[in-house]
Amino acid sequence: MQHVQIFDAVRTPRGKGKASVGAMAELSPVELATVPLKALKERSTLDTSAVGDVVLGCVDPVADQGGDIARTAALEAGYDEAVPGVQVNRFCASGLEACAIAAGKVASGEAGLVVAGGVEMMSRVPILSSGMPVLADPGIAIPRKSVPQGISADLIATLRGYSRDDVDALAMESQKRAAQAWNEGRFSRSIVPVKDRNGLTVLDRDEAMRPKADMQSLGSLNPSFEGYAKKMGYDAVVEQKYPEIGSLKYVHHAGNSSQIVDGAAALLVGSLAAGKAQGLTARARILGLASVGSEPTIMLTGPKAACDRALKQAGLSYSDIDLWELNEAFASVVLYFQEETGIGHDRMNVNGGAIAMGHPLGATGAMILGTLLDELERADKQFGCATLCAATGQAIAMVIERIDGDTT
Amino acid sequence: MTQIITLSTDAYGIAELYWDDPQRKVNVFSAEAIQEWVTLVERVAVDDTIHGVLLTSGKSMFHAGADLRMIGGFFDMTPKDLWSVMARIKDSFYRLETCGKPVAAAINGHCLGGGFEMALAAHARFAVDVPAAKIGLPEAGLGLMPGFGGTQRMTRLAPWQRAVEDMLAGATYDVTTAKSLGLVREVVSPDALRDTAHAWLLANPEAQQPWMVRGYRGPGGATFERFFHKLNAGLIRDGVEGRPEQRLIAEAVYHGLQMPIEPALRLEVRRFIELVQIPSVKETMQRRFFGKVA
Repeated sequence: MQHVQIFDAVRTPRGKGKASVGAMAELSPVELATVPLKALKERSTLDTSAVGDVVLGCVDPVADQGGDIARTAALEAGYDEAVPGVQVNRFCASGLEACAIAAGKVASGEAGLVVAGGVEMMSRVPILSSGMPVLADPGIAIPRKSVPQGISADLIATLRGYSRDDVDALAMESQKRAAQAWNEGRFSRSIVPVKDRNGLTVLDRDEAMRPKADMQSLGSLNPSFEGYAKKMGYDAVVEQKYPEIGSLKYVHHAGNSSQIVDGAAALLVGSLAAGKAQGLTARARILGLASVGSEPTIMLTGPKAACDRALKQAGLSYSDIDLWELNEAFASVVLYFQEETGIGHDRMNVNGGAIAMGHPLGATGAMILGTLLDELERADKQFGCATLCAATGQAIAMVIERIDGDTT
Repeated sequence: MTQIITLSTDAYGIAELYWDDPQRKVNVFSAEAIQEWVTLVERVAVDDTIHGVLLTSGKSMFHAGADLRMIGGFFDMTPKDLWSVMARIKDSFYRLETCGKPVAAAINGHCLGGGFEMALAAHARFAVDVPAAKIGLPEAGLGLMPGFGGTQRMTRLAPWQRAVEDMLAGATYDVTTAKSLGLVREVVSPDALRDTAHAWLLANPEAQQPWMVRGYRGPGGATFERFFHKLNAGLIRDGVEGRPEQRLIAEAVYHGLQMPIEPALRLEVRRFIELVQIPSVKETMQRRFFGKVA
């Protein structure tokens, strides 16, 4: 199997995902999705007729985010009519899954170049808009003892004994790192300011960051899932499924969970030959990738298994990886992964993550892959791994190697 | 300084914003009027002794909307400069309707375009019982589109299908039709107009726009989408390619109704700016109103 190259990566800034306050709320999901697509085209003066497919992750593909947004966005971005598009959904892993599918298309020879990424406009199409039978269908939810993700995050913290201070400290560090990364321009290679059709800037910086968050301000926030769990009965559900915890402890809140935001991202991947034909220079190559399923009630512990497989495929070990991007779905997800793998926080999410900047569900996987690539280049490192947990116990991982110029 | 808008507050704490432009036969939003309006809106919003706002006119016509000379100037402005002009008006209307005080418009005659958009930012409109009085948004008939919130507020007040069709046609209403569509609360005799509106203000201190009430939901779903499927095909059939204002109005309504009013109002301004940037629109408007050849 030939190596798949990554030629470019771009993302929009992330806007607050509540329509009454979000700076990008008056855009449509299609307009938002065209931003990275146009940027890839323009930055490489790409002949889009050479693009074999546009694969975009989107978790709630209904209403104006529905109808195969990838194809609509490709048309609206001015891509050649011959370029098809497909929308994919693996929950929070969707954006990286889109890249994995793109890699498969290139590796199989189906396509020479593929644009892969994701979009989620949570201000317009709220989370869970496309339905969740695993929670709603009694025939599924009851025997499986299904709970929503926030409850799973608190379950992980309870099982592992993570205190409120543990999770808040991680959140504070995420905010600090994100602010520093922005101030030092570490995202500047990837960020594409979002402009309206008059050329007026709508948003040019991640909107949800709270750089002043400290242990005191984080400590004052009420747990997000306590009242909810008790009202809904989810506390009893997890206590039945995991009787060893005794009673569920509630440590997650708005300040140490990923933020609800709008955003889009895309990467240009392809074969060496197809890149050469377009005059593209490869920035990285994909060495391994894997998707897995794991126990769905605890739900968010899958990244370790995904990374095990992706690393094996790459012929690398945990210690070989210079930089990690693990989606900060919830603080306990990161602490759990670090505990399981022995990876230190100094090598992980070094420019902050979704707790500080937000998690536009279908786009995040592509965003963190781009962030990883930028940071490998900036820090002059070789190997990186991006990984995300996803609903119903799934997870994805991708191992990349930075390269200077073309290589097989 | 000769004032265009006069503020006076009565013993009940009802502030009257009385439009009577001494330099013109009709009341319009000129640059000077906007300056006064914005200042006065903020004043009534912050003044604790004011408990309600009454919009009135000293002309036979309530309000004629935006000054055509000002609109003519829009075509030569950069998007950024035009945004700041439009955003000022947008913000003042939003401030008025959300400042926590009831606002009523006493519509004593024609109430058109930007004047009607101002009245739509009130919580209740009372219209005089004069069959000749016209109310509505005629912009599309002139090749323009509403830009002071009309595409968003009218479609949230009246049945939205009818509202969008009439806006696309630039159709206006007599007061009886306006009342039947929910755009006017009551039609009364000229003598009773001011008192009726005044009494309503005193009786409704908690007035809110329906779209600001918690739990308000705009239209959506299959009916909403099918309406636009048909509308789009019909507009193409009827030559919308030469009517960019119709496309942009339809787009502003389609998306705007799916979001809260604040982003919806920004969306309308963005489409308005887009419209006046279109060379053919600029040329048509300048020829029609200003005798200039672009």
